[in-house]
Amino acid sequence: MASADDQYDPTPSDDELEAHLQTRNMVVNLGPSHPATHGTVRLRIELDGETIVSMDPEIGFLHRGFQKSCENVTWTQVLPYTDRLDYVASLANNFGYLSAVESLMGIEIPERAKYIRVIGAELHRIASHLTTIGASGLELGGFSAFLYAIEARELLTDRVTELTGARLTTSYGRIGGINRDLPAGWEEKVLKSLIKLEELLDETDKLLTRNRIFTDRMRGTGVITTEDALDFGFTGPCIRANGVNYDVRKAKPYWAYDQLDFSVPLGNNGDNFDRFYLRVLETHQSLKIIRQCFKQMPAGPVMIDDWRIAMPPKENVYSSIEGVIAHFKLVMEGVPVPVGEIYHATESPNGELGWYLKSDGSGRPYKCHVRAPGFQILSGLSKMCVGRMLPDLIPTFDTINMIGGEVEQ
Amino acid sequence: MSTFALDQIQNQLPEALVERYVDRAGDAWGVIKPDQIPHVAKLLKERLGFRMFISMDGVDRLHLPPEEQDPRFEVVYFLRNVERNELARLKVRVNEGVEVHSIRSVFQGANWAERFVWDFYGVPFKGHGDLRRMLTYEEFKGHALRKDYPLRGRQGLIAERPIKDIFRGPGTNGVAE
Amino acid sequence: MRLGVVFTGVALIVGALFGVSAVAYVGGAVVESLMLEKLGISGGGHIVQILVSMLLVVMVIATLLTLAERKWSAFMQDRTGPNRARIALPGIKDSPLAGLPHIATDVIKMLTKEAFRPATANKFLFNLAPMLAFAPAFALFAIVPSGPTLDIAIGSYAAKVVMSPTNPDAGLLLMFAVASLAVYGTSLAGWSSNNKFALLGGVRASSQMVSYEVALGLSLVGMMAAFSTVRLAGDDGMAAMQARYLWSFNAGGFDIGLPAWGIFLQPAGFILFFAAAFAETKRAPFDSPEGESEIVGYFLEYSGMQFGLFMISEFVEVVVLSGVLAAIFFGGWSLPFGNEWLTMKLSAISPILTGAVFGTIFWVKVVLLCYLQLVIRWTFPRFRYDQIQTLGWKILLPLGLVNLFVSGALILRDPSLKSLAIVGILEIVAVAMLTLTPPRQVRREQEAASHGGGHGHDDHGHDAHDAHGHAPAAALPAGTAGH
Repeated sequence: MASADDQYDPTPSDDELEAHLQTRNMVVNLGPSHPATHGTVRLRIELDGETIVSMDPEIGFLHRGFQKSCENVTWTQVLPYTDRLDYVASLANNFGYLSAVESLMGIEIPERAKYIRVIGAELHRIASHLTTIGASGLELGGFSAFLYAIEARELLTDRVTELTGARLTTSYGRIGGINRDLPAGWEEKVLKSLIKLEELLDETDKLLTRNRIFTDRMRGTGVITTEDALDFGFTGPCIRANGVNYDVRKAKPYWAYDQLDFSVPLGNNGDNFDRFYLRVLETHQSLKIIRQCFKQMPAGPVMIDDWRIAMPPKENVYSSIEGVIAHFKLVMEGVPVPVGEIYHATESPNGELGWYLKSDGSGRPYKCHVRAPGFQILSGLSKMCVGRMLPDLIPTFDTINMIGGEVEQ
Repeated sequence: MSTFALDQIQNQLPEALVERYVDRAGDAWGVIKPDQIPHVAKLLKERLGFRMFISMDGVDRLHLPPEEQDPRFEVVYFLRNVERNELARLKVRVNEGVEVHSIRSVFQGANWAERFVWDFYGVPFKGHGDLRRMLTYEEFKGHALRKDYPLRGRQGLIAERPIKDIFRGPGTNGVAE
Repeated sequence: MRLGVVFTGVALIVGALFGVSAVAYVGGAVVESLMLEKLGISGGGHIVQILVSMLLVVMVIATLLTLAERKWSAFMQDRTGPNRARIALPGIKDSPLAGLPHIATDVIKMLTKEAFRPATANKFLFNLAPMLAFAPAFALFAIVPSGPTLDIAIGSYAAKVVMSPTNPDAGLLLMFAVASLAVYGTSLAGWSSNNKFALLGGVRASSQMVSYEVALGLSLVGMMAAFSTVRLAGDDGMAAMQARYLWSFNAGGFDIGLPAWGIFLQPAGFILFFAAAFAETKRAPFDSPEGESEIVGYFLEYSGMQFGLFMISEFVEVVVLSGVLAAIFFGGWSLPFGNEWLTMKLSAISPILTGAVFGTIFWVKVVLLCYLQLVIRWTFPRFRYDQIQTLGWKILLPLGLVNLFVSGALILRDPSLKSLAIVGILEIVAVAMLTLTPPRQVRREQEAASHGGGHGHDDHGHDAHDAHGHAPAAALPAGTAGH
C-alpha cells in the first residue's frame, strides 16, 4: 500500500506508483430481486473491476417459519408444508418426509406404494433437473434452451397434475403409503410423455453442450475442490461433480431403489459444466428408473392396513364403531408416533434431503429439522466465486440450483 | 447399525463423551461435552474420515418431560463418512447462555449451520467469529424456535437502517440534488 | 391458408421495397435536376436518398424488426409470440394481424411513459447519452448504396442518380469514424446514471467496442485492396465492381458464372467483419454490456422513449450492418447470375424499372441478413466479458492480419482476383467441412470416470484455428448451420 514518504525519489517504487491511483472496491447488491437470483437472495458482492473480492449471501427473505409451523400441527398436516420446501420437486419432499416419519414409527409400507413413490420422486427429479438445465441456458442468454426444457417439464407437470390434482403443491402420499392409487391409463400417458421428453432433452442438450460459447462459459468456472465440497456439506449432483460417489439411493437404498437397475454418473472437475452435465445424465437414469418401475410394479394395496395410521374406508366409518373411532382419533389426534428421534435421508434432486425428527408422543412433531441440500451448498457459494469474475457467478448460482423455499425454510 | 464413530471417540477421547445410547431405529448417538466438540469433530474428520458435513440443528427441550428438561438446549450434529457409508450422530447439551465451542474451524459448512442455531435457539458458539442471525433480521427480538416463543408472535416494524455498507457510486456522493 | 398468408406477406414486403426503390429513383432524378437547374448545386439527389433509404426504409425495417424479433424468437421456441393487441374495427376485431398492432402499442407505451431520471444522475449527460447512442448507428447508413447508378429521365428532368445518401471519397473510412462514436453514448449512459450496474455495463460496452474497432477495420482492408477503393457507392464503388464476373459463360444470352462478390474473394474477411460488427451491435452472443441476467445493462436507469432510443438504435444497427454486409460482401444489388441478361432486358423497357428491380434485390438481401442476425441472436448464449476481449485481440486481430497479408500477396500476384477467389472458395469449403463434421458421440452410460462429452467438439474448435486460420468460423457458423 501507499507509503507516506514525502521525499522525492526519481525512481518510484511500485507501491508509490500505485498510490497515485486511488482505487476503491465497488460493493454491489445482487438481489434480493435480481433476474439471476432464483427465489430471493441478496448477494452482497465486493468487486475489484469485475473480479469478486468478497461475497456474502444474505438469505431469509422467504423464511416462513417451517419448523415452527410443523411443531404445531399433526404429523400428517406437516405434509403440505413440505410441498413448499423445494417447490420444483415437491413429490420428492413429500415422500422424503413420509419416509422419515415411517422409519421413526418403524413401519413398512406396501410394495406398490414403494414403487409409486419411486416413480413420483423420479418424475420430479427430472422436472427439477430440466429446470436447472434450461435455466443454465437462460442465465447465459440462450433463451431458447430454457423454453425447450420448460416445455418438457410442462409435460411432467401435466402428468403430476393427473396423479395428485395439483401442479406444484402436490401433498401426495400419506403416512403408511399413498392416499390414492395411480389413475387409470396414467401409465401409458407417462410413458408417452417420457418419449417426447427425451426428444426435448436431447435437443436442449445438443443446443447447449455442442455450443462452444456455452462450454467455454461453464468449463472451469465455479470450481470447488473435493475437500472443500465435503467440508461445506455439498451433496447430490454438486458433490458427484467432484467425483465423490455419494448418492443416498445407492448408499442407503430406500423404497424400491435396491431392486432397480440404474447407475450414478460422476464427474471429475467439480466445475459448472460437470454439475450441469451430470444433471443431463441423471435425467436419463431417471427415465430408465421410471420405465423399470412400471414394468416391475406389483399390484396390491397402496396403503398400510392399520387403522391407527391409515384412514379407514368410508363405508366402515359410516357403518362400524371401530371405523368411527379410528377416523375420529386420526383426525383429532393424528397418527400416533412413538417417543423417539431419528435422522433419515432421501436423495432429492439437489442432494441429500435429511430429516431429523423428534417425537414426544403427543401426536405432533416435537422437532422437525429439515436438512435442505441447498442450504449447505449455498453456504459454499462464496468459496466458489471469490477471485472469479462476476459473470461466472451467474452460471455457478444456477448449477448449484439454490431453491429459496428449502434454503430459507 | 454401525457404531464405529462412537467406539473410536470412546477409545481416543474418552473424556469428551458424556453418554451414548441407541435410538428406536437402532442408530447410535453420542452426547459430547460442549467444550470438547471441536476436538471430536477434528478427530472424526481428520483421523476417522468423517469428512462430509451433513447438518446441524438445535432442540429446545423445554416441553419434554421434566427429567429431560435440564440442560435446556441440545445441539445435534450429523457428519458422514462417505467411504464407510456411516453417519455419526452427535449431541451437545447446554443450558441457556452457555457457549458451545464452534466447529467452524474444522468444518466450513458449520458456519451457516451455527448461525442458524444461534438465530433460532439463541445458543452461542464460542470462536465462531461471525455469529450473525441467519434467516431472521438483526433487529429480531427473541429466538423463534424456542418453545416459549409464541406461534403467532408478531414483531413491530423496524425503522429503515442507515446505509453504511453501501458506496453510492460516482457522482454526487450519494446526496440527491 | 397459412402458406397463402406467408406468400401475401412476402409479396407485400417485396412490393413495398419495389415501390420505395422506384420512388427513390424518380425523386432522386427530379430533385437532382431541379437543384442543378435552379441553384446550380449538384448532388441534390442525395437528399432524396437520405429521406427515402435512411428515414423511411431503415427506420421502418428497424421498427418492424422489433416485432420480427419477438415473433421469430417465438417460432424458434415453440411459442406463438405477440398476438394479443387487437384493433377494434369491424372485420379485423378478432384478428391478431400477425402481431402488428404490438408495434403501435410499444410506441405508445414508450412515448407516454414517464422519462424518469434518478436524483443523483447527471442531468445533462443522462439526457445526452441516448441521442449519442442513436445518432451514429443511424448515420452509418449514409455511405451504403441501395441500387445501381443510373441515368434517369422523366420528362424534362434528367439526371444521373447515385443511390446512396452520400458518396464521399472517404467511403468506408467515414463508416469506421462514425461507428467509433457510438461508444460515447453507451459509456455516458452507464456513467451518468450513477448506478453501479449501469456503470459496469458502460465499462463493458466501451471496452468491447473499442477493442473491436481494430478488428473491424482490419477485416475490410482485404476488400479495399482487392477493389482498390474505399467507396461503396457510385460506378467505381465496391458494390458496383462486385457485379462483374471472375469466370463466366453465356448460355443463350443468359450469363452464368462466379461473380466477384466479397464473400467469395474474402470469406475470412467476411467472418471477421461479421463477428466484429456483431460485437459492435452489442447483441447476443456479444451482449455482455446488457447481460440482463447479470448486470441488466448500461441503460438500466432509462425509461420511456429514452430507453426506446437505445432499443431502436440496436435494431437500426442490425439493419445498417445488413446493408453494409450486403454492399461489401454480397454484391450490393447484383444477382449472382443472370445479372447482365436482366440489366439488358430491363433497361430496354425503362431505366426506372431497372433501378427499382435492382433496388428491390438489394433490400431483399438486407432483410435476409437481418433475419440471419435474428437467428444468431436467439441461438447463442453470451460470452463472458474477458472471453470477448480474448476473441477480439487474440483471435480476430491476428487472423485479420494473416488474412490481410495473404490477400495482399494474392492480389499483387494476380490483379484479376482469380487466385484470390480460388483461395477464398477453398476457405469456404474448409469451413463448411469443419462445421458439418459430426461431433463425437456423448457417452451416456458412464459409471465412474469422466464425461467424454463435449471435449471432442471443443478441441475441434481449437484445431480449426491452428490448422486453417479460421477461428471465428468455427465459433459462429457452427451453431447457425446446426440450428
